Amino acid sequence: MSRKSIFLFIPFLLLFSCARSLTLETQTDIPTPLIESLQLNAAIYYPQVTKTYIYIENSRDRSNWSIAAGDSQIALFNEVMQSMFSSFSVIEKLEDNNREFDVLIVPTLKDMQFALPNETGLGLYEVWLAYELSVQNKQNGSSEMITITGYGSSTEGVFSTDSSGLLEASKAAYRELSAHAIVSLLENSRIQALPVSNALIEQEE
Amino acid sequence: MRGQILSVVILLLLGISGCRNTGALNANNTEFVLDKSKPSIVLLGRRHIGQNKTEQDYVSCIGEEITDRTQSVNVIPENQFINIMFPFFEKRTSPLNLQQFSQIVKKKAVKQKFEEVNLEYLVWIEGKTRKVDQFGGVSCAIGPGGGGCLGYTSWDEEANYQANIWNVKSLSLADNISTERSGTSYMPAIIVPIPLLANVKETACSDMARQIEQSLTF
Repeated sequence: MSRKSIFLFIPFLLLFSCARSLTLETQTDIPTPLIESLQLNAAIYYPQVTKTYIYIENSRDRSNWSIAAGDSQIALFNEVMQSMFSSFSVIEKLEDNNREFDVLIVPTLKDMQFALPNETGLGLYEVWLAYELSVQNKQNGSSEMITITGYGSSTEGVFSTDSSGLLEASKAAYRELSAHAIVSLLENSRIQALPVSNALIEQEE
Repeated sequence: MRGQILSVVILLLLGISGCRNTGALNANNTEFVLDKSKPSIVLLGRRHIGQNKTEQDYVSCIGEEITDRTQSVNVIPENQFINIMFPFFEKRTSPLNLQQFSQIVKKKAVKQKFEEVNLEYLVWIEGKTRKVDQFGGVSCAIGPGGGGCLGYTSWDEEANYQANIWNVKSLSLADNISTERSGTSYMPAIIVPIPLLANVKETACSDMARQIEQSLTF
């Protein structure tokens, strides 16, 4: 093989080596929740795993996959918290917990899975998420762990790419997750048992 | 030259045969405007069980049929309703029975929204249209002188749907109706495939819309 033909092959080799690589940042798109906010002073703490999560895989079928989910998770939980509680703050350290919070929520990402149409065999892109929500009643010091999950899929179209398909599926998964989180938190006995925040009553007066 | 003319003829015929597939089940993109002087209903597909999800186009087809049949009611589009009611009518959070529904309706914000849109009935559509058998086959090829298809295929479809109509004001079951339809579609192909569709889903849609309309009393 001549040197010229080897140089002609290089761009093709590069093209094929990048064929299944994927760089994606997930996004959220949820409607405004139709709920009455609870008259409680709430706080949320994001552990590092939730805040900076990047799904990385480099296998034969998933070469150089990098899916960043940190920002979208924060945006999602902030939106959920804002709609659920009349007052809410993000705390940077658990020790910062010196303010008069009624409830503290700590969402920890436990699992994030992705599947492509050729893997599902159903012509679907799929995303599955699992979190553990630690719900701490700061008035009496009790706490509880709730597991919440979200599943989303999108149908493979003629012009779908792995990137666009997984992005749509992740939006659907986040939507289901947030619905599940809101309903679970509204029904949570520790939150229901909390009296209206004294701090908020004082503010209103 | 002959090859080019043949290609143009094939494209035109493909266009015409493609038009045969359009019908009542096409998505309606017109924007919904609520008329507050009329009562409202909403039709929702059941989608909480794995692959057994009611098709969105079937649900919207019934809504369009009811709107065409009677001008005295608002039919709120499914997606719009699910969005304004978030998070209570998502796949996993939807009420599966009247007891769960009454718990949702107790919430002040939900009650206010129902009053705002004047919602009288909520109709759950459950079921699916399935392809049960397929026979024959069609082969297509394309070359420098043109292309074409040859063969014959036919398939049987079955549509089975149920509707549970909930009265929103009295929180009771207003009616429970069902429709079953089946038919065989054919597609002979001599150069161009010509689908002769049984329109099973469309017929089931019209039948369901007629029955729902008869069940509603305002």
